[in-house]
Amino acid sequence: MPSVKPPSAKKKSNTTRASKPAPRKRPSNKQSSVARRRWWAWPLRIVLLGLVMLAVLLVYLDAQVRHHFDGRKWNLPAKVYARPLLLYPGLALSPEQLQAELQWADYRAQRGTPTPGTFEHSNDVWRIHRRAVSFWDGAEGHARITLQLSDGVVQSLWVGSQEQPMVRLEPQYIGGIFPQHNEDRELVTVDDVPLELIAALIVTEDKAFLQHHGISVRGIARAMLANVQAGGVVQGGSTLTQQLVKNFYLSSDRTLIRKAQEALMAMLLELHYSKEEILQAYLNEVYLGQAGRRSIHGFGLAARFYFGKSVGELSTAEMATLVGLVKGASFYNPRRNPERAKERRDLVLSLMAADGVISEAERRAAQAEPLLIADAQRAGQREYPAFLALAKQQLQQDYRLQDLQNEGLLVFTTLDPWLQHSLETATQQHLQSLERHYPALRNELESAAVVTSVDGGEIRAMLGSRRAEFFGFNRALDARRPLGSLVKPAVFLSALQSGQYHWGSLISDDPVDVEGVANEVWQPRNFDRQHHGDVPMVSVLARSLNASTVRLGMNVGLAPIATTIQKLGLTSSVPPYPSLLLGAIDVSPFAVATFYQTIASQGFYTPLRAIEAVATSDGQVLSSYAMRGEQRFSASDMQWLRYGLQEVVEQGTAQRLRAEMSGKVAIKTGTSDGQRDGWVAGFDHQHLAVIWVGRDDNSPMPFAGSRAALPIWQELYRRIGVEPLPEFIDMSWLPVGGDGQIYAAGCSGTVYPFPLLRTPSTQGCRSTQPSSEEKKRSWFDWLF
Amino acid sequence: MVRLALLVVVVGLSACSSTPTQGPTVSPQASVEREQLTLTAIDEGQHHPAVAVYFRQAEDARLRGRLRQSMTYLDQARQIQPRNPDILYRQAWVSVQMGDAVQAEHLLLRAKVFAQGNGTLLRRLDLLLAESYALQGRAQESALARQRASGLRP
Repeated sequence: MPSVKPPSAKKKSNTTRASKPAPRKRPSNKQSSVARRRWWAWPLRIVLLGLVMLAVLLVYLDAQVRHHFDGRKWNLPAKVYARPLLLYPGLALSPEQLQAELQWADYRAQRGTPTPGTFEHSNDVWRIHRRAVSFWDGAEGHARITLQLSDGVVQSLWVGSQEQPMVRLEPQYIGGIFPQHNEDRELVTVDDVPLELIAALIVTEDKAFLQHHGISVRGIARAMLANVQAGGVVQGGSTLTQQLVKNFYLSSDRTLIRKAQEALMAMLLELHYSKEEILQAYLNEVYLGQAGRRSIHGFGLAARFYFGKSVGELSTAEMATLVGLVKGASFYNPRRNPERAKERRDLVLSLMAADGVISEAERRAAQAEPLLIADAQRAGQREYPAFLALAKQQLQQDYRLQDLQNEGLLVFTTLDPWLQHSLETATQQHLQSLERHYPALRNELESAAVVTSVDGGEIRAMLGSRRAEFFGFNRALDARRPLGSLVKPAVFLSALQSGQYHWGSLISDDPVDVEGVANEVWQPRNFDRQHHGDVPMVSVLARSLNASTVRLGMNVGLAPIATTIQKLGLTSSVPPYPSLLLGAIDVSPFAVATFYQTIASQGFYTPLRAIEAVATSDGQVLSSYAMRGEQRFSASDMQWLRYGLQEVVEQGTAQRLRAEMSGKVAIKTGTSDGQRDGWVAGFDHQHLAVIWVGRDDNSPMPFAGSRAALPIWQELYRRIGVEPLPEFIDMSWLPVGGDGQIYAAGCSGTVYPFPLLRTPSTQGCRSTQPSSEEKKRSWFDWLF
Repeated sequence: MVRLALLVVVVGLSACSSTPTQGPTVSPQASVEREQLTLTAIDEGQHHPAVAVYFRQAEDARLRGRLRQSMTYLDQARQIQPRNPDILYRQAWVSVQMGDAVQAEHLLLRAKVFAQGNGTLLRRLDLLLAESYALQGRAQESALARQRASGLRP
C-alpha cells in the first residue's frame, strides 16, 4: 500500500463530513495536537485580524494627520480694519482725538517710546513709535514719528530725522468675518514667540516635550506626583502633542477610545513632524478665551486681546498669565476670576524659576506685579456689528462668503473710529437723558444712524442699535420706518425745478382736503394743529408745515415728485399717492442717507461705500475701490434747495442749533404719524448724519423728531467739529415782496437766492407778474 | 460792354473754381496750447504735499498697468481735498484709460462744479469731457465740449 500523506485537518474534516459517520474513537496524540492547534488558531486569527485592523486604522489616522497638518491648518477669518489715521501738515486734529486713536490701536504712553506700540507727548510735540503695519497697498516697517500739533492743526511731521509730507498710523481692528464657531487667531511663528514663553509652556504643560515621541509615561507619572504634592491638579498628563491632537483632530469626548486614538495620532504626528512644527501649531491652536461671539485661539491673538500687545512685547508675568490659561481659559479668566488667574500665574512663575527659566529674583519681581489686563471693551478689541454687517454685504458683491471666512483676507474700510465713538457717546447720552425725563420709556427707545462724508459717500460711522456692540437686528440697514417729513426736500426741489415757485412764493397753509382712490378724504394737519394762512415757501419747509406742503405737492404733481425721490436715491418703489408728500414710505436709515447724500454732494448721486480695499494675508492687493456716482441734478439747483434746508436752522424746527453753530449747516427734522419715528438728516461741508430714534414695537413717543433725534445730531457735531457750508456760488439775490412778487435788486422786500440760470426778469420795484398766489391756482385748488 | 461781360464771366468762374478749401489750420500756438491742456502724467504740476505723494503713487501704479490701484490712490488724495478739481480730473483721466468713459464724464462734471473761475482747468476738463463723450458715441456733445475747450462759445 502506498504511503499517504496525512490530510490537513480541514480536509479531514471535510472528508469526515462527506463520509459516513465513523464510530467514536478515543483521540490519539496526533489528534489532540491538532485540537490544541485549533484551539489557538482562533485567538491567533483574532489577534491577526486586530493587527490588520490596527494597521488599517494607523494608515487611516496617518493619512488624516498628514492631510490636515500638511494642508492649511486653520480657516482664517477676514480681518476688518478702520481707516488709518492719515497725518499731514495742515490736518485739523485735536490732541484728544490723537490720544484716543492711539489708545484704541493699543498704543501705550511710555517715556522714550522704547518699543513699537508706544507714544509720548509733551506740550505740542508727540512722539509715536509706530508698529510695522500692513496697509492696503503694502506693509510698512515700524517707524519713529514725531509730530508737532498746535492750535488743533498738525504743523510738521517727521519720521526719524526726515521731514515727511504724510504718514499713516496703524488702523484699528474693528472685527472679523468668522468661519463656523467664530474661531479667531493671529498666526505667529516660533521665532515670533519669546523663548521664555515657550519654556514656561513646556515646564508647565509637558516637561518631557523635547524627549518624548508623542506620549510620555514619565510625564504622566511626573504630573501625578506634582498633583499629589500640590494637593490638586496642577499638571496634566497629556503631552503638548496630545493636546494639539485633541484640539486639532478630535472631539472633546472623555472616552477611552478617543484617548487611545489621541495617543496614536500623537505618535504619528511626532513621527512625521519636527518638535518645532508641532510647537508652532500648538502655539496657534490652543484655546485661550472668549470675547463675545469670538473665540480667542493662540498666543498671538491672546497677547493682543488680554494685554493689547504683540506676543513679542509681553512681560514675564504676562507670559505666565497666558500659559496659566491653557489649563482652563474660562476658569482662569483674568477678567472674571482675577484671584484665581493670579494664583495660577504665580504657580507658572514658580515652575519657571524651579526649572531655571527665570531667576529667583525675576520670579519675585514678576509675582509682585499686579494682574494688569487691558479692557476687553476697549475699541481695539471690540467689534462694530452694524458697520461690519454692511462691510460684509458690500464685500459679498465681489467675494464668496467662504473666502471671506477662511482666507485670512485683510479688509480696509472707511470707518472713522473717532466719529463712531462720538456718535455712540452722543446717542447714549441723549437716550439716557430722555429716559430720565420719561421713566416709562426706560430701555424702550432704540436708535440707528449713518454718518458719511459728503463728497465721496464713504461711510464713517454707523449704529444699528443703541447698544453699539449688539449683533442682532441692524436697524440702520434692515429697519423699515416711515420717512415722515424727511421726504419734504423732494417736494420742494420738484417745486423749484418746475419753474413756477421760488423760496419767496406764498403758499396757503389753510386746511386742505385730498380725496383718495376710494373716495375717502384725507385731511393732513400741522404738528401744532393750527393753520398759518399764506406762508413763504421757505418757511413751509423750515417749519415743516404739512397742509401747505401737501397743497404745494398736489400742485406740482405726484408723478414728478415720485421721480425726484427716486432720482435722489431711494430705490424702493415710490407709489404716487398723496400721502407720499408727508413721507408715507417705509425706508431704512441707510436708504435715507443715500437720499440726502445726493443733496449734500450737490446733485451727484453717490452710492455709499464701506470698503476701501481688500488684500491677501501676505499683503497682495486683491481689489481696491474709489468713489463712483453720477450727476442727477444740477449743482445750482441743489444749492438752491440747500438754502431752504439752512433756513430750518434759522427759522424752523432746528432753531435750537442756532446758538451753537458758528456757521451754516443744512438740516431737516422729521416725525412720522403718531410720533412713532423721530428723524434728523443734516450736513455741514464735511459730513452727513442721518439719525433715527423710535421704538421697536412701533408705539408712539411723547416727543417729536426735533426732540428725539436732533439733540444727538447736535452733540455729534459738537464733538467732531462743524465745517460750515460755503457761500452759494452762481446765485443772485433778489427781493421778494410780502405778496410773493420778485422785484429788482435794491428794492425793498425779503431777499431770496435764485440760481443765475433761473433768475427771472424783473421790472423795477413793482412787478407786473401775477402774484404767486394767483399763479399757483391750478387744477388742484380749483377742486377745493 | 464786352469787357464788362468778360469780367463778370471771369469773376463768376473764379468764384466757382474748385480751389481746394483748407480746414481751419492749427497754428503752432494752438498746438502748444492743446498740449498744455492735455495731461501726460498724474504727478505733473504743483500740489499739496500729501496729495503729491498720492499722485506719485498713482502714477507709479498707472505705469505698471495697475489702473484700479492708481484710481484708489487718487481717491485717497480726494479724501484729503474732496473738492480739488485737479484730483477729480486725474480720476477721470484714469477712468478713460480704464475704458470707463461714463464714470469719467460724471467725475468731470463734478470737477467743473469746483473749478469755477479757473479758466485753464475748465478747458482741460472740457477737452477730456469731449473725449469721454466721443468714446460713448455722443458726437454732438463731444463737439460742443471741444468747442468750449478751444475757448469758443458753443
